[in-house]
Amino acid sequence: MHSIIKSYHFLVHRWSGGFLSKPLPAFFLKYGIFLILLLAAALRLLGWYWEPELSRDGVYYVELAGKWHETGSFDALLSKGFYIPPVLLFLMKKALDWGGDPVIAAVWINLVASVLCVWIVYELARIFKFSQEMALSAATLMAVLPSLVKLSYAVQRESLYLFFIGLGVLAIAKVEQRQKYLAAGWIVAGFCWSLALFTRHETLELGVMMTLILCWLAASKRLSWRSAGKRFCLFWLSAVVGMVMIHWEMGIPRQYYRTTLETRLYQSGFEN
Amino acid sequence: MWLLFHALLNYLFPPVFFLALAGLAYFAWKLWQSGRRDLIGLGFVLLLIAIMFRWREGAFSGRYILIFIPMGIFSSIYFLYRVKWPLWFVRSILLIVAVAALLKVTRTNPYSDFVKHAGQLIREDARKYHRPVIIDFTQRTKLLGYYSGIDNHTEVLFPAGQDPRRNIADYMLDFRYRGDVVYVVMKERSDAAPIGKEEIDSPDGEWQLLGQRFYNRKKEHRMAVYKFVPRICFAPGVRHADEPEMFLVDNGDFERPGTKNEIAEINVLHKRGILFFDDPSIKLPAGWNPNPGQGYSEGWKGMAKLVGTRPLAGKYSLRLSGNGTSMYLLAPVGKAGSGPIRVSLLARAEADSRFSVWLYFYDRFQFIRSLSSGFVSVRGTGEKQQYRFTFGFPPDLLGKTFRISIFLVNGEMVFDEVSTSLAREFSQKEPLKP
Repeated sequence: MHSIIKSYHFLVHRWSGGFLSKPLPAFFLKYGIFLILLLAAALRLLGWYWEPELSRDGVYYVELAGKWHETGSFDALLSKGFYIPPVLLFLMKKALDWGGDPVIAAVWINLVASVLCVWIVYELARIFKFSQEMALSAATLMAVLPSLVKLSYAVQRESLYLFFIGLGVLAIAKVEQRQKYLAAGWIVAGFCWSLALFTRHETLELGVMMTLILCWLAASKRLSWRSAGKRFCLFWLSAVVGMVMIHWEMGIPRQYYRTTLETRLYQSGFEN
Repeated sequence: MWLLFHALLNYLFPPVFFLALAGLAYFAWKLWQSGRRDLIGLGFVLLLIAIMFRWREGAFSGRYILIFIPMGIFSSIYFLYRVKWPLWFVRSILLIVAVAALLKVTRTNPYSDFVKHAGQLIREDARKYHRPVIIDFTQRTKLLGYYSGIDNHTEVLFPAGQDPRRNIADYMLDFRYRGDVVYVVMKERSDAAPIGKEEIDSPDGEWQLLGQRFYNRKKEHRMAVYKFVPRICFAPGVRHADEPEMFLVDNGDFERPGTKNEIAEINVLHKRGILFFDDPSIKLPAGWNPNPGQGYSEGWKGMAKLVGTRPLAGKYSLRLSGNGTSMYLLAPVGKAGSGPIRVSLLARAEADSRFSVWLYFYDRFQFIRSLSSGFVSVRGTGEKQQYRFTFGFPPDLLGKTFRISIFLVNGEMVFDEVSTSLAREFSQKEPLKP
């Protein structure tokens, strides 16, 4: 009983009245994000060190990148129902072209993208008018979330996808907050969207969603129809330019779009 | 929808997930208090998300919900800091969640390399063989191929909930001759004894457990790698003490050439544009026919003929080449008795090839069913080998007459000395030539 009372006393008085109730040191508030980024990087590197094995998807991607590198053509990857978005494969193929290891290249790209996502969340939190401590807390959660740590050292597309989406959202949020360089922000967002689309296809829905939200903002008179239209045009124009650039740079054949569309429609319940 | 919800729970980490839900509810309540129009906006966004989830249900992937992770984190932080809890309480909650997440991150699976381990076991062992093959029952075929460096692998799909171990004997009947060594990879319960040779019911080879490793720290399952070395090849002329006498089938030594008039289904072959036997210089063995029911599809390119250069035994041997080329013995070999039927033949692969031996069973003149030796893959080393196959058969085939057929799936091979363990009225009662 005595120990329970002691514990209660500790919790209520010492614990609550101690460092947990004091303001965070100014130094930590200012530079804490760097410590959190370091923590994120360390956790991801440790995870890679502990579990360096490839997943089934990883082996498949290595195989595809190898084929692409050997033949020099995306056509070699096409088979019935092929729909894998090519950005990560392209980067792995580039690593092979330059004499590198595609697995190590893919993991490093994902690691960097995943750590940058922590920074993006911190920046977004600040833009959303969260306090400095709240932003640091959000970044901490992003840094230690087990699923994100695991995905960051896997040969998968998710960390890269999250990074492109995050960067696009950050670009829009930043320019909308400052009301400066609006065009540049929406153009960057559109370009990020096109990269994300070629990393994971569900980006498509996010584009539609963004358009509908713009419409709602205009309909609810938070934004004039003219401003909404301008943002819409900038976003989609840069997205289309981005897609065309990716298409040319990677040499994606038309057949890829057809098989992707067919497969995705089939997966969504539309029979041929 | 539930699957996506479940994925969100896992990917967002359960404590963060529940905090995020609370944050969303709190945010909605705040909007309700301040202005209903914003609440409609929130409802609109949630509706769009619900439509996205519904649309993606068919192409479900847990990782689809990734973009909701930052949203969930913002919602959690909003809930913790804006509800005006005491600061020490908020920080304690955050600390507990962060430590729990850290513990989860650092509590890695010490057996995470179980597939790599299996692949490396196979890689090491396969160095002694020419044509290793992996038969995988664990749905990790690509990974096993990657880590073992063996291209020749097959994924065995079986109905969910079925234990492939129960049917391992049947599977092995199909796969036992796929290579000169067959690696079988199984997922087994840790408390189950390893599969013994008696379970695979295949007397034609050596079966051993090569190694095993747990899947994870729960140690409920292990990935076991078994090795089967089919005893199908012997140096020609070598006799094993446990082998019964073998008897040549009718013209099994291919010493008697025949004429094209003996080809029973010549019209079918002609209709498919297969005319090689019209060439008078091509000799076919008497009593043996190309089988249009096995191979010889339209557009077929290949050859079946007797060759006198470098025969395997005697003056002539039978050479088959192309994709899908077969020859069967028109006369029945015998009747299935109580024991297994053994078939022996000499063969030489002049290119990488696959072949099999088939027995066709008949009830009087009515075809009932066929049994296959399974496909044998042979490297085109040009070495003469003797192959021995054992055919077990179900009771319904007892006493049924059967024919024998050689089927070349692809490549180029020379055959000779086709013998069976049956010395029946249809076989020449001559022992195998030394």
